Amino acid sequence: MTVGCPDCPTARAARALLFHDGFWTHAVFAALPFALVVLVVVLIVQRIKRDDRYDDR
Amino acid sequence: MIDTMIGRTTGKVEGKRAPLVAAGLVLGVGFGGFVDGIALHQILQWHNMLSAVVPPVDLIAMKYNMIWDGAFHALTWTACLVGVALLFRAGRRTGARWSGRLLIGAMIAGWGLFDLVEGLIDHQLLGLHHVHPGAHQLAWDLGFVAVGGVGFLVLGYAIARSVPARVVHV
Repeated sequence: MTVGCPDCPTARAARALLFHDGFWTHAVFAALPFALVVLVVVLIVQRIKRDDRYDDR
Repeated sequence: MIDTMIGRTTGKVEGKRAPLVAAGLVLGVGFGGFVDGIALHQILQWHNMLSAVVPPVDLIAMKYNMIWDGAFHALTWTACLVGVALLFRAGRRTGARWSGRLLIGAMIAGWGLFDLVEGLIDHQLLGLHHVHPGAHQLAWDLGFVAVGGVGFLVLGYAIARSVPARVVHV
């Protein structure tokens, strides 16, 4: 490993694998749990907002 | 009702829990994700983001997984940033409940929510990685969902629910 690794053969091979191995599918898969969590958080907060309004009355 | 009347006439009422709970949940998602990424991906090296798809058995595969771990950390960092913004906004809102216990409870619940969704989607449904691949893989995955997911969610909910709904500062 005498070559700086941003441009070493190993790093180039890893980047090539990244873009030729279902990049967008894996990107969507990686983001999916976060998207679902955001949806659940929004639903929980909406529910608490309703309870807060009920308590105000 | 009496509290509300007292609050309206003599002091400030803290009654809206939603702003602080929203901030706590999102911060919990971010910090919980960081615990997963730092402890399980990097320090213990039990798994990586796509280690069941491209097992990290050589340097190229390890670097490949490292890139996806970075993408995962970018999303957890974004959650932390959004959580801090929501917390700042909650602090400025008139009438918003301001309680350390409510914030901690919401953060633990957010962490549990993240573990639950991540455990079901990434580990079970998509099979991107497993908590501890190899022997007893399913037991590790189910334990993660039970303790880190459902356990933290219930614990956080119990802590948050123990906070009085409203406080009147006279």
